[in-house]
Order: sequence, then C-alpha cells, then structure tokens
Amino acid sequence: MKRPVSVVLPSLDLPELLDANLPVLLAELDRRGLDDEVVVVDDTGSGAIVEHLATRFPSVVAVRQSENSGFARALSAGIEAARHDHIFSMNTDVRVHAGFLEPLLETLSRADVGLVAPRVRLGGEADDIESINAIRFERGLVSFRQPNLPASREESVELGDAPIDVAFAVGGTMLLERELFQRLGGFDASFEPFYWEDIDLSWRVWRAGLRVVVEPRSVVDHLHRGTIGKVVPRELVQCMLEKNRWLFTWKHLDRTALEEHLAGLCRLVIDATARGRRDELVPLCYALEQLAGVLTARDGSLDAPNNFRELAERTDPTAHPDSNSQRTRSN
Amino acid sequence: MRICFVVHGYPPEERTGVENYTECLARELAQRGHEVHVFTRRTDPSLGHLATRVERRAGTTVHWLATNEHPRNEREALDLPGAAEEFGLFLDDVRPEVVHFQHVLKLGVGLLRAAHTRSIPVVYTAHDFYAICHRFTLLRPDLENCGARQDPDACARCDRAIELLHGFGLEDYQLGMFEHELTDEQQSALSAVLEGAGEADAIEASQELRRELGAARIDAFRCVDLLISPSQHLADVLVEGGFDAERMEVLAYGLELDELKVLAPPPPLEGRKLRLAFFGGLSKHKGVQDLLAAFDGLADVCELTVHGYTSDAGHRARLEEAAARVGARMAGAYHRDAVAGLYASVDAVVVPSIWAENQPLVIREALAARRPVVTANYGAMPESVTDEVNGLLFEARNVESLRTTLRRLATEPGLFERLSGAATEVKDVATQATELEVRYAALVAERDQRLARERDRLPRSLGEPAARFQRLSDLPTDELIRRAVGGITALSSHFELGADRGPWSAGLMLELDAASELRAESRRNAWLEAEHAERSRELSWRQGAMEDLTRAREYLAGEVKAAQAEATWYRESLERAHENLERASESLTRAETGRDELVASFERLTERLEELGADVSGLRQALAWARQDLAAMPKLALAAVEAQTRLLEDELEPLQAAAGDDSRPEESPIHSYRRAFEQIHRELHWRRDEMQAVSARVNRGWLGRLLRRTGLGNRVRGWTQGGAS
Repeated sequence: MKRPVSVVLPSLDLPELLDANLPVLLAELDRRGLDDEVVVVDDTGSGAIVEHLATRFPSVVAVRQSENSGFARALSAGIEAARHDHIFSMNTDVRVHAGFLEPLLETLSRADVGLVAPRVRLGGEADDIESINAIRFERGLVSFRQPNLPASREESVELGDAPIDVAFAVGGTMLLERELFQRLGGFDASFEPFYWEDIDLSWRVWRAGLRVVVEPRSVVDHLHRGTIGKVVPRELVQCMLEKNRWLFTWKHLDRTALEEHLAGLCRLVIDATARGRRDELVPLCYALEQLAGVLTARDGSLDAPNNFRELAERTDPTAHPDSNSQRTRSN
Repeated sequence: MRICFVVHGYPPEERTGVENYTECLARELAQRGHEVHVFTRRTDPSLGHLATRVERRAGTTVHWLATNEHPRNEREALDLPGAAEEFGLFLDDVRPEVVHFQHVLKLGVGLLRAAHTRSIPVVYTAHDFYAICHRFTLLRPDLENCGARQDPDACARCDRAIELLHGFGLEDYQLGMFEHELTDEQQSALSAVLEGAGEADAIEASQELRRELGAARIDAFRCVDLLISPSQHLADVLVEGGFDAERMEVLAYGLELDELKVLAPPPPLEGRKLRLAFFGGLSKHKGVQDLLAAFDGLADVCELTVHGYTSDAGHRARLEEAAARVGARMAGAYHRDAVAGLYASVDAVVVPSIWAENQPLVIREALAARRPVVTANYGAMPESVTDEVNGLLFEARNVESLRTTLRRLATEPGLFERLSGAATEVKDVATQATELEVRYAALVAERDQRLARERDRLPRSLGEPAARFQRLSDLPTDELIRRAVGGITALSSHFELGADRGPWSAGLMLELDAASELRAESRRNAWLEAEHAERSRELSWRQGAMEDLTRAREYLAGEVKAAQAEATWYRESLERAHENLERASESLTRAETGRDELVASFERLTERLEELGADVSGLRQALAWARQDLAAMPKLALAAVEAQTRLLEDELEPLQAAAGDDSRPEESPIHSYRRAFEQIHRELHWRRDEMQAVSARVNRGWLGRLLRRTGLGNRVRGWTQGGAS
C-alpha cells in the first residue's frame, strides 16, 4: 500500500509525551518515504504546543485551537486540516511499532471495511490488547467489554494475523478515510466532552454496512499517560462515561430493544433508589437533559434496518470462535 | 433555599434554650418559603442504633437519628462512630444548600466534616464554649472557672478530676461538685489534681489523649465557613482559643417575642413585695443555689419563684430544701408556650449564673417583657443588661452582693419603676431570619464562586459539563429520582412504548416508593446485621468461653476427686495423729505430774538440805564449842574438881578436926562431896563420848552421801570432814 497518510494527534498535554513519542513516529514515516504528514492539534487553547513544535519538530503541521474544545473536536479539526485522505488518529501517549501503517492501509482498502484499528498493547504488554472489544446488550442495558484486558481475561480472544471484527475502533488509534468520516457526519457533539464518541462513530460505520476491524499485524503501544485522569476529577470522568452510555443506548437501540431497555432502566432506577446510588442517578439525569438532542440525532440517522442485538452479536469477537482466525481461548 | 439545621436535641424530646431557639428559627424560615430540614437525635429504643426516622412538622422536615449507644470513651464522645456517615447519607439525599449547626454535642464533630467534604457551606452558632471546651462551660469539676484555652494539660486535669469524683461514689457529679458538697479529704485530692500537684503519670496519659482530641476538634471546626457568636465575650474567648476571627461574626439571638412584647408592664411596687423569678434549667452552673442563699432574709420585701427543672436529683433536693428554708417557691418545669403567662405575675427576673453565660435567652425574654434583670457582672451577661438602665449587675459568685442588689431593687424608692420603664430593643426571630438569609446567600455565592474557580482550572471544554455535573450533584436524591422517572416516561412516550400510561407508570412509582423504604430499612438492616455479627462474635466467644469453662470444670472435678481422696487420707491421718496426740498428752500429763512430784521432792529435799545445812552449821558450831569445851573441859573440870577438892579438903579439915566423928559416914559432908565429885567425872566422860558419836554420825550418815551426789559435797565435805576430824 503506497498511500500517504496524515497522522493526526490532538494534544492537551505538556510536551513531554510528544518529545517521547513523536520521534519514533517521524522516523517510521521517514522510513516509508511517502509524503506522510504529522498533524498535531494544539488543544490547550494557549498555543503552547504550537510553539514547542516549531522549535523541536518543525516538520510537524501544527493546528491551533483558539480554545480548548475536547478530543473529538480537536481530532475533527486535525482531519479537516490534513492533506491526505487517509487519516490515522492517534493519542500522544501512543508509541508506534515499525511497519504499523501498511497492514492498516491494506485492510482499509477492502471494500467492506470502514474503520481499522491496530493491535493496541496496553502499557506495551503483549497480552493486554485494548483494541479488542464488544458491545453487550444484557438485561436491557448496553455496555462494552475489552476481553483481552486483564479484567475480563476469561473471554480473551486469541489473535492470529487476519483482521478481526470488533464493535468499535478506539478514537485514539484508528485508520479511517476522511470521506467516510465526513459522510457519517463526524463525531456526534452529544458525546462531548469525551468517551463513547468513537464507539458511536464505529457503530454508525457498522450500521452503514461496513466493518470495523482490528488488524493484528499492525502494532502500537498505549502507554496510558493521558491528561484526563490527571486534571479531571474522577467522579466527573465517571459521570461522562455513564452519561454517554445512555446517549449511545437511546441513539442506537431499535424499538424492540428499547422496550427491553425501558424495563432495564426502571430496574436500574429502582435499584439505585434502594441502594442510594446517586452516582448512577446523576449521569442518568445528565443524559436525560440531552435526550431531545440525541433523539433528533437518532431520527436523522441512517435508514438502514436496525437490529441492535443482532449487530452486537455480529460485532462481538468473542461470539464467533470459529470464523476466520478468531478463536475464543477456552479456559 | 434548602436549609439544614443540625442540633443535638429537639422539641418535644428536649426543650432547653438551644433546642427551642432552633425550632423557632426553623419554623420562621419555613414560613418564609424555605425548605427547612432539621437533623437531630434522640434515644429511641424501638429503633436500632443510628436508625433514622423522618417526620414532617410545622412546614419543616425533622430527621431523627436514634443514638441508643452511649459513647464508650472521650474519643467517641467527640465523634460518635457512625453518626457522620448517617449524616452524610442524609446530606446526599437532601443536598441542603447550607448546613447551619446549632450544636454537635452527642452527634460529633464528624458531622461538620461530612458537610464540608460535600462542598456545602457550614454555619455554626456557638451557644457555649463547646468549640474549645469538651465540658462546654469552661467550668472545672470544682465548678471554678477555667482560664485555659485549648490547653491539653488543663483538659487532662479536668478529666482526671472527673475520674476522681467518680471514684468518690457521688451521684450527679458530671458537671462538678461545690466545695461544701465534698469532705475535706475529697476537696484536697480534687484541688491537688486541678492545681497541678501529683498524679503526673495519669495526667500525662490523659494529656496525650486530649492533645489528639483537641487537634481533631480544631481540625473539624476548620470546616466551619461562618461561626456566629451571639455575644462578643464568647467570640473573644473563641479567638483566644485559636479561632479565626475572620470567619466569625457576632449576631445576637432573635427570638419569638410577640406574646412577651404585648405583655402589660409590671405595676409599680407602691409598698407591695417585689415578685422575683428565676427561669431556666436548675443545673449547678445556673447559680440557683446562690440565689436561694441570697434570698435568705429578703422574704419581708420580696417573693421568689424558681421556674425550672434539673435531672440532677441530688442538687434538686438541696435546692428544694434551701427554698423551703428561705421561703422561696419551687414551681418546677414549665412549657415555653406558657412563658408569657408566667411573666404576667413577675416583676423582675434574676439570672444568677456562675458560668460565663453566652447570651441567656431568658434575659432577652425578660427585657422584651420589660422586666428588669438582675444578673452577674460576668461573661456576656453585662452585654445584655445595662446596669442601672434595664437591670442591675451584682458581683459574680458573691451571695452578699446579690442579696444587697435584690434588697435594693425591692426597697429603693423609684428604682424598680425606673428600670422597668426602660424600653430595650430585643431582636425578634424575623429579624434574625433575615440576617441569616443574607449570610446563607452570601455563603452559597461564595461557594459557587470557589467551585467556579476550580472549574476554571479544568480544560475549557470541561467547564460546562463540570458545572452541569455539579448542579445535578447538588440535587436531592428525590429530585434525581423524579427526573429519572420523568425521563423514562418521556422515552416511553417518544417511542410510544406505553410506559407513560396507566398501571405501568403507577406500578413504577409504587416500586420506587418501595425502593425508598427498602433503602431506609436496608440501613436499619445493616445495623441489625452489624448487631447480629457483633452478637454472633460475642456468642461464639461465649461458646468458646463455655467450652473452656466446661473443660475447666471437668479438670476441676478430677482435681476435686483427687483432693477429696487426699482429704480422706489426711482426715484419717489426722485422726490417727489425734489419737497419738491424746496418748502423748496423757503421757505428757503423767510425765508432768512426775516432774511436778520430782520438783516438789527436789524442793522439799532442797528445803531439807537447807535445814540440814543450817543444822550442820549449828552442829558444827556446837561441835566447835564442844571441842573448845572439850578441850577446856578436862582442865577446867580438873581445875574445878581440884578447886572443889581443895575447897572440900579445906572444909574437911576443920570438920575432921572438929568432929573426928564418922558415926554416920554417909551423912557426912565429905561423903556427899565425894558423890558429887564422882558425878562430875561421869558427866565429863559422857560428854566426850557424845562428841565423838556426833562426829562419826555426820561423816558417815545419809546426809553426807546426798551432799556428795548433789555437788554440795565439796562445800559440805570441808566441814563434815572437819567435823569428822
């Protein structure tokens, strides 16, 4: 695959992460020699990163956001500014391995693939693969799993060399075509400030009839030293995660699933009432304040037939142990 | 505004100054449209410890926490375990915009922290010195005033002194004991502890605890955003104790005074007796004992009625006794609704407190009713009463000064009328409520600004979500549930799923009500489970102890059996020994008898010996004399015989010559002289024989043998041998 790629990195961090990880990326792109570019979106609102890049990494394209706008908007701005059609979105705490782009480009070139993510090794650990994931719909509630992380190891999926279907591509490490991104309407602003916007995008890709896959031959390490956990109170982070789960649910469940969901929701509210779980009620109320917006987005979404449960099963890498090279490790 | 009051007791359970004041304030704010919650406590054996019950009353919601377990130590007294957690749950449910603490006694300072950590502004009204004194009065156990401010040493001495009082086995000593209530010995022990002598080790340990608790108290009170002091005096003392004057404001109490304000002023004395009254608790620090003592001798010019009660039975009895003695009337407890009625028959009020009262509500009430107040020139009392204007001040703790002052008020012409005619502006509860509304609003605004500043430090894109998160987090749980249910209904309605209609929706509401109840019960259940676990642990310990005891009993039974066998053996041995003893006793008795006989014999023998000794001496003497006689006798006798002979011959010659007649020779004088001469010769021989016989007998006889055996022989031998020689 000899296509040039724009690597887009939204950045809110102090420059240390760029200093640590950009040289590896730039070296790899140099090796390719294909006019790849690196676009760093300075989301600090202060221009501090732009200045830093100018002195340390003059070859990097710096896009300055006039004020901090959050990951999705910064990434969108980067995609907008990119010269090439193929965009690899990347977090600043990700370190690429040699040859990571070629397999991704090869897989994305398939007609039925809309998004492709590399084998993302959490903390550089070979067995902890972040990019393997599934969406579950159980007892009327939607959740996601990452079976190749230690917390749910019993469901772990063994990877071969062949691409494997997953529910979503994590926004911090995915290859996409700008055209598709724009056709799908980019990221949904309902999910601001963060989390689930990439799941939503991926699900729209699936609902558009395209696949979202992990390309195991492409390897990157996620060193997980991002900003959010450092500067944002944990309760707020948790609230956003939960709030966006509800928005995703209400945006994508089909009518049948919604009936089941309504019962699940009642159960949850009753349970939260009984246990005094305000940490469940607050995000729900937050999401409800955005209900009108998300229902509008839902109404305007694709007309394709929607069977949530079926799609969730279809995209669950642990549900198809025999297909392709996918195999669920049996314990 | 959602306002929460926290108080350590509340009507109708408890009805003293702070509780009444809080109720009055809560009612006033509720009437103004605020959502008022009161978090308070009571002992309720029908509920589990720390169970909560909610009650709607006069527009307010009262949340009762059952505190059935008493603090087990000073640490728990400062911060009742579990109370802050329960308060936290309450705060989460209600999310008051401001928490106004009236008192945390019996609940704990942890409640201050619970409100603060939830970013809820904390107001604390100091009604006493609790913020710096765990006895809250700054009175020592000898009921003298404490000059220390947060001094671990002084607090430790207080603790030790209380322990000492405890050890004396007195009743109702918690507040302290007056000198006259203790023996000399008790008094000196108490003052030794309080004044710093002795008990160094015990006090050092207590100091360590007090240092720790003092630090915890200071730390908890740092959570207070605004400390309201009703008097300058209290504010000054708290600042001396380390409180930040910046966070403190002096705001006099505002009371419900409508009924008192419209009361007719007391009529002029015009020769009648002055009707004095005391209102309030009768605890020792209220000084009623001084008032009764001062009243002694005043019955001719005034009447005294004491309204109030104390659970301190011993002190109450002493007061009743004193009242009977001086002619005062003890009217007992009163209901605050009846206060105005009681004031109608009162001319003046006495507040004789011996502690630095903060701002006694009674003074405010009396002045509102235009009744002059006689009070001590101490603490914050002079802040309420202006001497010679609306009342009179006497020297604190000085019975004579109080008596003089009372007599003066009762007898000095025109004085009472002048004082009762003075109009004193007393703040009412409405004014107080307005003051508080302003402060609450300022604190909430300040808090919002602070949180906004914190949000400003977040990335800008998070500002709005963080603000919305904060706004939702500030909602009461009920409101969150209401919104969640509304959302479910909206979703259902949008997708025409039917959940918004008819029985489905009603069922959900029922489920939610049940869930709320379930939650309340689950908390009670948690307590019961904890109780159960505790009891199970205790049971298991007891079972273990019982098994140990059973084993011990079995072992002891064996031991008893062995001991019984041993005892039997000992008993038999003892019996045998007794028999032997008896036999031995008999032998001994016999031996003793023999001995006594021997001794008696010996004594007799000794006596005899002494007699014999005396005899021997006599005999020896006699012997000596006899020897002398013997030695002298032949010569003397011979000489005498010769002399006699010569005499006789001299007599014979003439006779022979004269008579020459020997016709009757036997009748002649010569013949008779011859017979006499022969008689003397025989006697001479007999005496010599006798002498020899005695010597021989002494030498050879039993006495000589005895003397030789007893050792006296050597001494005796001399003279026996001497006698024999």
